[in-house]
Amino acid sequence: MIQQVSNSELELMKIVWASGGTALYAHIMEELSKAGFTWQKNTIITLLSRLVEKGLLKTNKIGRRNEYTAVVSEEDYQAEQTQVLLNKLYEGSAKGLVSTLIQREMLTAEDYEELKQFWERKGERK
Amino acid sequence: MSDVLRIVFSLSLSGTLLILVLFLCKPVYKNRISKRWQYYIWLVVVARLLLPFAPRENLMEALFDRAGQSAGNTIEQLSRSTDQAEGENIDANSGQTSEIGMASEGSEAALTEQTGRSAGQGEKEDGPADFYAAGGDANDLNTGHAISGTDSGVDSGADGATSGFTEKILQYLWLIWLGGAALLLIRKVTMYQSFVKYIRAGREEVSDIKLLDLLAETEGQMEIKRPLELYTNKLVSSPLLIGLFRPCIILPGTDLPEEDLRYTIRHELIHYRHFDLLYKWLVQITVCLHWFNPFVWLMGKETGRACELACDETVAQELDEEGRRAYGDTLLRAIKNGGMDCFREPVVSVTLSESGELLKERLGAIADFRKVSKPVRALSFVMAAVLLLGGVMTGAAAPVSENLSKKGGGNAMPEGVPGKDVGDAMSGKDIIEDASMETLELKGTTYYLVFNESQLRAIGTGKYGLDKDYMQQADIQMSADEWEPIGTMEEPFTGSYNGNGYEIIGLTDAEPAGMFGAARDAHIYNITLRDYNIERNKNSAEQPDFPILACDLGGSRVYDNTVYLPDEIITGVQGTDRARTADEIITGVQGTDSTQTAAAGPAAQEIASRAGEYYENGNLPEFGRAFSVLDESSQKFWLETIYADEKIAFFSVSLQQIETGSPLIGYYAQKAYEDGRIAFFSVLTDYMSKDMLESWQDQAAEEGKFNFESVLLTALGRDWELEARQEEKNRQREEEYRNVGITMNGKLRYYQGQLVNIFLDMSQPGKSFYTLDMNPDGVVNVKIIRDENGKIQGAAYMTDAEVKELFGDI
Repeated sequence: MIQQVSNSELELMKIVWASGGTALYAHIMEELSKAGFTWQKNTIITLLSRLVEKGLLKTNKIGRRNEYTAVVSEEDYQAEQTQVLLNKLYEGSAKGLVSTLIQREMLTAEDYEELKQFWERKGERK
Repeated sequence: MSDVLRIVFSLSLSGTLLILVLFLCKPVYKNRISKRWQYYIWLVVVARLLLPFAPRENLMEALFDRAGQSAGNTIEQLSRSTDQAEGENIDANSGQTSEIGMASEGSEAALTEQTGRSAGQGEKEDGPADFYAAGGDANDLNTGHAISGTDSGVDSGADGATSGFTEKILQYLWLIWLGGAALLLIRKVTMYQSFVKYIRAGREEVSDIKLLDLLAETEGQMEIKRPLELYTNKLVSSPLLIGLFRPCIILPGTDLPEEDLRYTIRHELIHYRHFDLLYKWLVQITVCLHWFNPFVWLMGKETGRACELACDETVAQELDEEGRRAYGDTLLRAIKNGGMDCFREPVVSVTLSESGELLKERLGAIADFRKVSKPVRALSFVMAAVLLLGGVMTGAAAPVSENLSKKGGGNAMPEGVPGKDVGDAMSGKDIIEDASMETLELKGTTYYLVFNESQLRAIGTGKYGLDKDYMQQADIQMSADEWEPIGTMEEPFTGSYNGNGYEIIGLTDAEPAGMFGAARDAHIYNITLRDYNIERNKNSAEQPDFPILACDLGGSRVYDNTVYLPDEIITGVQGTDRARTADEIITGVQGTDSTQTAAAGPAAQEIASRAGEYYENGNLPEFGRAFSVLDESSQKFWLETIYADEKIAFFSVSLQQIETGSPLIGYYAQKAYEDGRIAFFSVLTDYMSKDMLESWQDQAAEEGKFNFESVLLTALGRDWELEARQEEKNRQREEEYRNVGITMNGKLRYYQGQLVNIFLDMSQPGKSFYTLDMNPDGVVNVKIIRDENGKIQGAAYMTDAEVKELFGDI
């Protein structure tokens, strides 16, 4: 079970994921300022250490530099979060989610076709 | 009475005296002296209550010395000392002048000291009276054996009847004390733990970036390096700081006006910066150990108040009139339910009315805030010093068994009173010298300090082994007793003895031996022997004279020793220089016109003149000492020499004597920078002012001298910038690599599409750092080719010979 993270923490995770799962502190700083965040240095350190505490990041000291490595991949995180969403809103039924997506036209016809094919293939294999 | 109790009671009584002084003087200093002083001054009392060290002679020692035979007396003392009528004191004191023996002289000195101080502070009348009572009573008891019909006499008589039973109780009384202290401490710790658990369970991380930034910004302003965690917990009534090892701030909620949050954070951070949590625990431990003493409990309460007041004062200091008003408002809003405390410890709960009263005091203090003037600051410094001295003098009673050795300064005395000085000042020279020695830790070596003849004679006996390091700390006048040389042929001296420039006067040597009999691999230096009595040696003309070391069994270093012969001998040996270095005598150079050393001059000059010698011998610490007494031009000369010789260690030692930011530092910084001597420059950064560092940093950045930049950024504490610069540098280099066909995928390097096994880049020819990456899966070995200026020319496969050469080193 992956612990819940705040939006700002997720922002940091995205940067780490985007740089191949490992990023130096300085790199994170840089990406943040590129993305237009003007957070204080200590704020970022606090957020990073929270992520470490929650088990999403691992920290590694290289000389005087701090390197952060993602323990959880972006895909795993997404899957986990989807599961949380499913459990919370659809009582574990993926069907319900899909139907909501279709009803709200958040899923195009092509997407649906693709999904269907994927599902049938899965069934065949069983 | 058991030894443990003796110490505890004496510490408690001693601390109580200080507590009383502080409480009684409070009306005087309360509104005049800074709140921070009023807060930290209690540390003196806490130290007195916790540290069982004291000078050899002190009030408590005198008090407990003889009176301690019966605890009945002592307890009587404790109660009587506080409520004795003034008139009785005078009686006791007048008796004292005629009756007191040697031992109580010390306590008398301490007493005068204290009464003098109390009077000087303009204390209330009853203050010194109460205080005097304790001391007066003590002397009364000391001399009580001589004064008939005093209370103590009667008491001990009464005690005698039930002595068997009381004795037993007294024997185990210390267990009761220990049990009480342990119980209380455990209770406090477990209550604290459950409190922490309670806080932890309901806390939530603050994820509001605005608030986190506010915290980070305030930390930046207050130069707090370590970021604190910020939580909210709806269960707490007011903001608090908690966690001794990982401190964090806990807010009741975040739905407060920004102003309130700002002041709250500032307030809690000041608690953090004041080390208030540590302080509180220290006080709690003190209270636990002195649980039987109501004054200590009172002190615990008082420090809690003082803590908040000191914190408020620090906040107010940085605010203007309007800001202070706003801060007061914040406080008022926050304290509605309790108080803006740093960890309101759940053990001693604060009742509402009390906290209301404290709030009133705090608000009053904030409103009346004014900067403390210079003279007042000076005065508060003096007062602190006086109290500290008072703390040292009231002292503690040592365990009976330790008493003898303690007299000689066997106990370390962290109050910084060297044993000898106190001994001489307090009780005169007649005190029997004791052979136990204090020790001094210097750079990992334990030196035994030699102050007197007994200690000198103790070398080679008991724990003062022949392999230890000794350092003389005073001139020593020897008695006429025959000297037993240190070390024999069978058991030679193998340690070190540093005479430290002090003299040993009148060493009487019966045998034709020296101060040291035999030594191996020893280190004997800086000894001065005056009036060395070699009567017999002189007559046996055949035998050479070895005043310092008679026989070296090999490997010893004996130098810088000086021997002054007694006058009658000098007149016997015509034309002899009065000072002959022992080294000459040892080597048998018995000339009448031996070269004179500067030994006759003051020690400082002598050392200075030896700077050259120390430098040649590589004797770093001695050189450092010598350097410190040199005049400015000599210092410049030496710095120049050292710099030219590239002796970095000597450079570092010498710089310790140079003022930070002095022009000399600037001069060498310039030089080292231009010469590219990064090591020297790095040493210099420790002595540069912030401005200097910054201007050098600008220059180094401009000129792309990255190694200097990294040293400077480290010195400036701008580590983050350093990391960023390194990062940038790495990126640049990777780009350069790419240009010559080396690419990077994750952590794997490729050269023209082939996975690289060994990757070598000698960044700068002749420099010791280079890049070497290895990947066992790789198939090719590649090196970067650079020109003389370090510019990358290209990449090439490494030949087998080159690979071999590379690993030949490893």
